[in-house]
Amino acid sequence: MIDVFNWQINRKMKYTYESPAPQKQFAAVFDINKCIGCQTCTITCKTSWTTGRGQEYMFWNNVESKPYGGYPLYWDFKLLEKIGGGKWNAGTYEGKTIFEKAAEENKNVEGFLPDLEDWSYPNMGEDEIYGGSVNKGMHINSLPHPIWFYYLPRLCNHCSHPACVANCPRQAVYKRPEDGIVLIDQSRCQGYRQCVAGCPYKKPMFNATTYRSEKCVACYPKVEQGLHTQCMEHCIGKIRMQGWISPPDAPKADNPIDYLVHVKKLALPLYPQFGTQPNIYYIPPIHVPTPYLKQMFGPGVEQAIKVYKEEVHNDPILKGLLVLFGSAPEIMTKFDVKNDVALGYDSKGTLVAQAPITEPNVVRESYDKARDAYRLDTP
Amino acid sequence: MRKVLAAAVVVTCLVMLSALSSAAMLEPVTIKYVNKPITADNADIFNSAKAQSVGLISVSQSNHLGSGAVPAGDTKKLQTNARYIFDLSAEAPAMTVKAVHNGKTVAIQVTWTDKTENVETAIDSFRDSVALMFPTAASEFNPSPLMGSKGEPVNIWQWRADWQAEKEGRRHLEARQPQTEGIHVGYSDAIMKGEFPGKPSAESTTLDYVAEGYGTITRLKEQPVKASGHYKDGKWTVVFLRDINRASGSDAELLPGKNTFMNVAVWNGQNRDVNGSKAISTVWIPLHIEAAK
Ligand code: SF4
Ligand code: SF4
Ligand code: SF4
Repeated sequence: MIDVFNWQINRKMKYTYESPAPQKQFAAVFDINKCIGCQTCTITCKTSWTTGRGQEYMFWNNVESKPYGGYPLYWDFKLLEKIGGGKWNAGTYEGKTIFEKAAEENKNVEGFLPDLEDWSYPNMGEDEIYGGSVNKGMHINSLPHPIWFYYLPRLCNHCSHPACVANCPRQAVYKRPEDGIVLIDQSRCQGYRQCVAGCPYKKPMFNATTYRSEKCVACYPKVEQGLHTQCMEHCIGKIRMQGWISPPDAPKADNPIDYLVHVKKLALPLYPQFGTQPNIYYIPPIHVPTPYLKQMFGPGVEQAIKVYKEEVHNDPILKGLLVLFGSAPEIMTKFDVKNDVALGYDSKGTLVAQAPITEPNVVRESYDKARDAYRLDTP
Repeated sequence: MRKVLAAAVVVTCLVMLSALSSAAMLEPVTIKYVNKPITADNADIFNSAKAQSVGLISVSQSNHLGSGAVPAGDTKKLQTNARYIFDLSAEAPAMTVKAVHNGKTVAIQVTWTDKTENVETAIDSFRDSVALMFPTAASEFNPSPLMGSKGEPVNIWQWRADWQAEKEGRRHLEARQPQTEGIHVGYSDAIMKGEFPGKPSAESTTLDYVAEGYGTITRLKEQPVKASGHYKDGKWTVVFLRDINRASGSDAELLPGKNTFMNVAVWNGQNRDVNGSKAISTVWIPLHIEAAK
C-alpha cells in the first residue's frame, strides 16, 4: 500500500498503487435539481454500447430514485454498513475508506458481489417519496421539503484512485494516462469479477456470454474527438457539463468544471468517504434535507446549497455557466460570460456555444393593429 | 479462528514452496504406454494405469471477491498485495490421477471429490473447474510452482464444467439470464464477440494457456488440448487429451522415456472459487512418460 493524497477527504490515505495524476482527468458536473428522470441518458448508452447477448441487464448509465432505489439494489447502503460510517471533522474524513477498512483484514478493497436479483430492479422506488404521504390540499412552500425524492443519474466515475484497478489480480483494468478514463482490457480480463466486487459504485458488470467484465468506456472514441459522451450529449434536462478537472490547488477560473467544483464549490463528489476520488460531481438537490445529502455528498452540502439558492441569481458568471449546460455537442474546456451571454469554447479556442442568460422575448398585444385582428392566446 | 499454515505474504509462501518442492519426494505419476487407440470415450484405456493419489491443500484468498491484486513481475508489489493463504482447516478435495499414452496421444484422467456440481458461470454463479500445469520445456529442473516465472514459462490446461454442460446441451440462457431469451441483440454484438470470443470454439470445454508468473496467464492461439468431464456420486472425472507432439513451444513438452512435472488446481464453484481461491497440489509432482514399446 502506498500513501496518496485524496483531496475530497482532505487527507492522505492508503492505496494499492502509486496513482500519478493523468495528463487530463475526465470529469463532469450533474445538476440534480434539473434531472427529470427521463432515462434518455440510460437508453442512449444502452443503444450505443450494451445491446449484445450477455449485456441485457447492463446499464452503464442508470438513473435511480433516491432514497429507495438503487442499481444494483442498496449498492451504497450495503457498503456504508461495511465500512462502518465515519465522522467528518471540518472537511476531513475521520472514518475509514474502503481501502483502509480492507487493510484491517489483509484485503485490498472492501466490497461485495451483488446477487443477480440485485441487478433486476433498476427502477425500484421510482418517484417514491420519503417523509410521509401527500395529504389532500397539501402545499409545500418552504425549503427543504418535508417529503421528497430525487433522481440520481450515475455512471462510472473514472476515479482518481479506482478500486476496480486496485482489485484486479490481472492488471486488466487500467487508467489511461492521457485522459484518466478507466477501461477493462478485454484481452486480459479473466472474468474473476474482482472489479465488480471492488467498485463501490458497482459500475463494472460481468458478461456471462463472453465471461469477462465490462464497464462504461466514457465513450472514448467521442471524447478523443473532443465530443461529449453519448449520455452527456443527449441529456434532455441539460443537467450535464462534461470537461477536464484540474487539481484543487491549480484551478482555472475559465474551466467550467474547475469553476463549479473548486472555485464555487457548488458541485460535490458522490460518497467521497469511499476514498476512490470519483470524478462525476453533483450539484445537490436543494429540496432535500441536508443530513441525507451529507451522507451522500460529504460536508460541502450546506455551502453548495447556499450558493445555489443565494448566489446564483446575483452572479452573472455562475448563472451564465449553468445556462451553458447541454448547449453544444463539443466539450467546452473554456467559458466566458459577456453582456449576459454565456460563451463556450472547445480545446482549440473555437466558439462552440452561445447561450443568452435571458432568452430574448417579445410581448405581442392581443390586438394586431396592422391587420385589425385579434390573436387568441393559446396557453 | 481458522488454522493458517503459512503467512499471508506470498514471499513467505514462495520460500516455503520452493523449499517444499526441492525436498519433494513424491511418488512420480507415470504416463503408461498402452498399445490402444486413445479417445475421450474409451474408458478401457486406463485399465492398466495405476491410480496415484495427489494431495491437495486449500488456498483461500483473503481478498476473495473483495480483493486480490498480485501484479505481475514486480516483487515489491507482490509483497504488499498478495494475500494467498494455505488453509488447512478447509476440506480439500481427494484426488487421484491416471495417465496413459500410445506414442501419439496422451490422456490424463483426474478424479476428485466435490459435494456439489456447479455448471453455471453467470452474474453471481461460479463453475467447477480443474487445471493441470506443466513446465513448457521438459527438464530435471522445475520452474516456480507459482505459475512459472519470467523466462521459465508453464503451460496450463483448464477444463470448465460450464462449457462441458453447454456442450451437452445442459446449460440454458434462461437459467443464467432470466427473461432475456428473445431480446433484440444489436449488430455490434457480433463484432465484439468476434474479437473477444468467450470460448475458443463453440465446442470447447478447455482453455490452453501459457504463463510466466502471477497475472500473466495468456490464452494460446492454438488450442490443442481437449477434455471431457462428468459428475457422478459426488465426484468429477475429467479426461484431458493432447497430441504427444506439441503444437507450439508454449505447450508442454511430453517426451516418451523422459521426465517432467505436473501441478494440479481445483476450483469449487460452490465456494465461488476463481483465480487464487482454489485447492492446489502445492508442489510439482514428478511425471514420468514411459517409453513407447
Ligand atoms: S466508479 Fe468504479 S469502475 Fe469506475 S473508476 Fe471508480 S472504482 Fe472503477
Ligand atoms: S460515458 Fe458513454 S459509455 Fe459511459 S455511461 Fe455515458 S454513454 Fe455509456
Ligand atoms: S437524460 Fe438527463 S434529465 Fe434525463 S434522466 Fe438522464 S440525466 Fe436526467
